[in-house]
Amino acid sequence: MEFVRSFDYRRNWFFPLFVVAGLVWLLAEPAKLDAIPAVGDLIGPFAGMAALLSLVAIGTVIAAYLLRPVLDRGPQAERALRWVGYGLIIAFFACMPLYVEAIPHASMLKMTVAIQFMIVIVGLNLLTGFGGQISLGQGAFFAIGGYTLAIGFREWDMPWGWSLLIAPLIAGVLGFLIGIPALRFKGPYLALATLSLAVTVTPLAKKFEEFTGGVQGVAMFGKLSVPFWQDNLDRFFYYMTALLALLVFVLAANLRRGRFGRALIAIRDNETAASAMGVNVALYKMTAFGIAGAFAGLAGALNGVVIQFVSPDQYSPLLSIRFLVGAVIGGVATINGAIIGGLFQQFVPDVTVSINKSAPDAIQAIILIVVMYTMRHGVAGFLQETWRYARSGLRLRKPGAGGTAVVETVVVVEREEVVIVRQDGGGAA
Amino acid sequence: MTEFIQLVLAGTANGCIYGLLALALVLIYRSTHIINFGQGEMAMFSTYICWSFLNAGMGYWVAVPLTLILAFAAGIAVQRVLIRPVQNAPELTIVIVTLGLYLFFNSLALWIYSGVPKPFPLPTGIRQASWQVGDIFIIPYHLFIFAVLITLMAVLYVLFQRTKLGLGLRAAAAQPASSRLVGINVNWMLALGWGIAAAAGALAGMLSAPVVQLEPNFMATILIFSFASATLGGFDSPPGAVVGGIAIGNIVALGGRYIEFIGTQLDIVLALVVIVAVLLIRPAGLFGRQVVQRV
Repeated sequence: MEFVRSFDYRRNWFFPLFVVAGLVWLLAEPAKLDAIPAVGDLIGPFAGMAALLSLVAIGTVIAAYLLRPVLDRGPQAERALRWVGYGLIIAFFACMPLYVEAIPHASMLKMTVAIQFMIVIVGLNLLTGFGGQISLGQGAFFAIGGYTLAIGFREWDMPWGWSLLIAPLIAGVLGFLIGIPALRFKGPYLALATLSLAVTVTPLAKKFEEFTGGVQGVAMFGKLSVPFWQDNLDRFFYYMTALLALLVFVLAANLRRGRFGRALIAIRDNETAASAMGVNVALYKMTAFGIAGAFAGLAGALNGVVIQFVSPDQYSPLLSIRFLVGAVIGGVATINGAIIGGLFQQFVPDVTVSINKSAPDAIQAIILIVVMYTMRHGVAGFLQETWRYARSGLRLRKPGAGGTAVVETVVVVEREEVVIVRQDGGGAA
Repeated sequence: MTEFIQLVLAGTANGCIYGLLALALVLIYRSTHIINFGQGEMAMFSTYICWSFLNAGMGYWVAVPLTLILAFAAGIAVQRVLIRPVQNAPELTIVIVTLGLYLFFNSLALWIYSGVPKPFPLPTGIRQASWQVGDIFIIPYHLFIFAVLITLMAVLYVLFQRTKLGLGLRAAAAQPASSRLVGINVNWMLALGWGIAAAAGALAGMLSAPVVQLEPNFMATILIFSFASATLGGFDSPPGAVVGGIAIGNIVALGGRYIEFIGTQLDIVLALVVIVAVLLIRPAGLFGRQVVQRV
């Protein structure tokens, strides 16, 4: 039970709370909760999510415990395990048609849209999480993607496949160019300036009626042909989206690991220092905007293909806010967090809308604020932290198990640091 | 010419409302360097509260002050409960929390009051018909809005420049650390700032509700115009916010009429052009202080 003792309760005080909330939810009969009007309705989703999160966290600890013999073999084994983890995630999405019916509220179409959200969010994670540039305007690039498809279809009868190539290009170039004025803005000002992008889209699309079809939008129902699985469009679009998403994730992970990612992080942490080290701040920031824009454009075009309908009201400013919310809840400075963010944005509104039409936004707002207080690095960051705690706690418990003396000292030093920090905190208070 | 003057009158009246909300944004930005994305929605929700009072049979002149007091208290509560824990967090965290406020109040209003627009009355004692001076029609309510703005500016001026409390508020905003050393309760000063801002925002909401109909999204556009006003005037200058507001009101009114492309649909684009232009040409705004950063 070293883990329980070594856990930093002061920073993660909410964790036991979540466990308790989850247990209450699991043990109490849902019917009893429902007896309290409104309150019961509201507690349900919150406690359910807390339960899910605490179950995953407990699973993480148990996994760290069970996998100890493998992990203690060294960093190589750890890396191999990570690949197994990625393999499991890919397998989960690859085998979706087998069990999608069994997941409540889920369907192939909804999963497809969730993956499209992930594509946008992973771009936003690069831009905001690693680059430190807040963007409330990703919905605008999403709209550019959608309208590339729609206008191409309407004006030139362009095959939809082309839009998947052209949309990211257009959105990427525009993103890159928008990066230029964005260089002058910082923090909340940048949020403000990018929000203005999001706000402009709907009126502009309504204004240029001759291209965009105005308020009515462009309907493409049944007019998009696919090479195979003609009788099962949902499945075709799902696999197409999932494959493209895999590509995007690999690209993003590589960008994050390499020179680009390091430069971005350096800029985020200290722009002056980064520039003194020879990082071309302007170019990297603009590129980050371009990449995030291209990802959003791709997702927008995919979304148009799948929904087969594009209209101005799909691209309200709220959409941009939702992207950022999803990114933040998943974990903005992570790549994997985008998976959680995308699923969250698709399914939490879907589940909570049954309570009340405006419940999804209210619940999201509360979750958002709670997440900001309790897990500043989002769910993915929280799970990473749990994993690290579990690992260091478990390693201490069994000295010499496969590990070397070096590992031991590192752990001891870590422990001492924790103790010292606590003493300081106590002294100052 | 008549039309021009008419447009300027209407634009100025709208601009006063933008200026009021911009004032709220500036009061918060000046002391805490936070741009409160939830300001407009907090104002919208206050306006709904006022509507509930009016609906319950309360008189206009009772309901409005009562709402202002409630909004003031709510502003303080929001700062103490929600904002203070993240006061020193990275900018992204604070932006996200205020966006959370935006989402929360917006959906709460939709939940409680539904999306059906509600009529909001003119203040009792203000006549509906307009006065005619030559060819020009003057709407009494526009003058009323202007008068309220001037009064509020005077009250705030006296509060900030002539009272000890105001001195504390200004000190806490300018030099939090030094103020703490001389015994000013900086945390409470910041909370008071939020309270005043929330009340000013609520006033903007209640003044604009009779003109545009009261529905959960009615402050969203006004918020964008207020952002433009505050940017134009300078995010750390309260008089700048008001001047910026009146300027934006006129830019929108005149631009919508005389620039064919803009029309009535794209007036928001004008606000965005102003935001981007100001931030590019003179980021501190007309009245703001240029900040030189030391590295």
